Amino acid sequence: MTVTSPAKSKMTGLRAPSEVGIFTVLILVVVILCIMSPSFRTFSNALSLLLNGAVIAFLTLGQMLVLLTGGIDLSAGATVALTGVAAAMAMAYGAPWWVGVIVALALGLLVGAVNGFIIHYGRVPAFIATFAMMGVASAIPMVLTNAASLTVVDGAFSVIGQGKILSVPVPVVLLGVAACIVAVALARTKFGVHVYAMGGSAPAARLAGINIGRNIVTVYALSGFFAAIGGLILTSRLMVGYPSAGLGNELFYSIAGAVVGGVSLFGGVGTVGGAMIGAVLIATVTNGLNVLNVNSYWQSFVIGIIILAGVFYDTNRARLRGIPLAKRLYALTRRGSSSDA
Amino acid sequence: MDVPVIELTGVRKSFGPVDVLKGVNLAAYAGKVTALVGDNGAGKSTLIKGLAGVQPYDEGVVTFEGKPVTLHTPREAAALGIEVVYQDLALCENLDIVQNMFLGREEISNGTLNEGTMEREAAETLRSLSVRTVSSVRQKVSSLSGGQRQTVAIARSVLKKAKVVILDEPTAALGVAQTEQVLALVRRLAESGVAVILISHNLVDVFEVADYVSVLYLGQMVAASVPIAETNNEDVIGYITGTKSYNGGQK
Repeated sequence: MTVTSPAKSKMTGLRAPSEVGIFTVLILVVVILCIMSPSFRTFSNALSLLLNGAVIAFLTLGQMLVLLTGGIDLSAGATVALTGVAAAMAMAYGAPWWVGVIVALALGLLVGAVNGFIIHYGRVPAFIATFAMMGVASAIPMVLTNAASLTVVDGAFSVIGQGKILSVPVPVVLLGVAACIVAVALARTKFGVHVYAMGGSAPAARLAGINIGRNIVTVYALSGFFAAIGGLILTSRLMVGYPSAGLGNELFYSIAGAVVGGVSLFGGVGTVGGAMIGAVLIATVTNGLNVLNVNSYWQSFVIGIIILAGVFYDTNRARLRGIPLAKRLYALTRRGSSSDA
Repeated sequence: MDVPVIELTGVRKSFGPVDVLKGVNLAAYAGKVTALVGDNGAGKSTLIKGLAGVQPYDEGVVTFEGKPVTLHTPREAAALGIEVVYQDLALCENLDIVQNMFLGREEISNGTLNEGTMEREAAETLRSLSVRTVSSVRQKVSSLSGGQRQTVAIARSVLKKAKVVILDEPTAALGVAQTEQVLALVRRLAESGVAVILISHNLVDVFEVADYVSVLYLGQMVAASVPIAETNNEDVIGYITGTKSYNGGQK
């Protein structure tokens, strides 16, 4: 094994980037849906798909950063509700729309930073800390509004969710900018290398003198920040602060998007490109199920299956690496005879 | 004997009621390999963690190039040029060789990583150690063999002109051929002027590569910097197990 492994790795190094596989799946799904449904292949549906996708993709972006460090943020969906309602409330109290935006973003950062502090300095597992935060962050808007939705009074606020720049919806533009910034930060800065290192081997990262606490707080704060942008988009699209927004599928979808996009739940592996393709895939599937008039109760079922498939691939990644897809699938049907040959 | 690069005098460390180091002396010399041996629980790890600044000593004097210094944080140790290569290697498998060698001390220009400089320095360091076993510095560590990983870890330690390199069981997990490679690397490391402290359970390795041997027994240095030529396998085993005591040298 010791002799063959470097040679083997050189071959895998020449293989196409891992995003190509998931991108192919996305194209396939889009083509199939276009054939199956005339209403899917309309321009207005494409727009609504992208708009829905933008919220999921923002959550996925934050989720990805957290997953890369080996953590998870279960409070992202609740933060959407909290920040969306906070913006609406600020405006209801007479603040101009941009103050509402700042309030929401600051709140998102704060929620995330608190998560990071509890996880790193309090040594609480991420799963538990953010699970608890999910409860806290989803309760606050309910309590404040008595579970009633809050109408946004400042009309200018609608630009975030409904505006267009050169006929591209503002949320999509915002997402593009954010994704590019995160991609550059991950690939070209110290912060990026450190995030991957922490997910790859936390002890090694610590011994290398990386400031783990600061990075943990940063990634969770960013996750909260991106969730807040999601909350703003959602509130702005409906012009209503909706205290139960983000409590259903958003969190679920954001994790699904990251995982099918090739972000490892074990940390250290994944790219912005992959995660964004994954988010769009999830958005496409849910949208497709909608336009095909599939009972909405089936949506979670389908997404659940997709998550399982993604995680299954992730856990068996090492075993399946370097083998063409068809062979991989065949190998899986005949366990044991698969990889190490 | 020359002046040691680093010298510990009367180092003590206890964890609660347990005295792990009971007044230990240790010296390491430039261009020489000093083996540090001792049975499990003798205090080797504790001694090393103190040198790395990870777990400061309770008492004792640390002299570096003739001047007393403090080793309270990993940063202080690194600033003096003390590097530790841990047994579990402390590499990130998901990163490539360059990223691992520069982890925590990346070259930055205009706020972004200076990949060109880092690649060049990594390749130069590997070349200076006559490492030819890795084909590309952009290979992921997960694709490397145990010996190659050890090589990367050692190269990482000397990247920033280290003066003292501490190797914790560098051959523990390796096969015969790879052990030879790593030992040759340890030799070259010393020849480049670094003071090497080699921790090992394997006395064959110790006698092959070390210039001096120091033996810890239950928190005490029972034989300090014994020239390897003046001792033998049987004696060293005696010191390690506490059945013999050393009378020569400067102890």
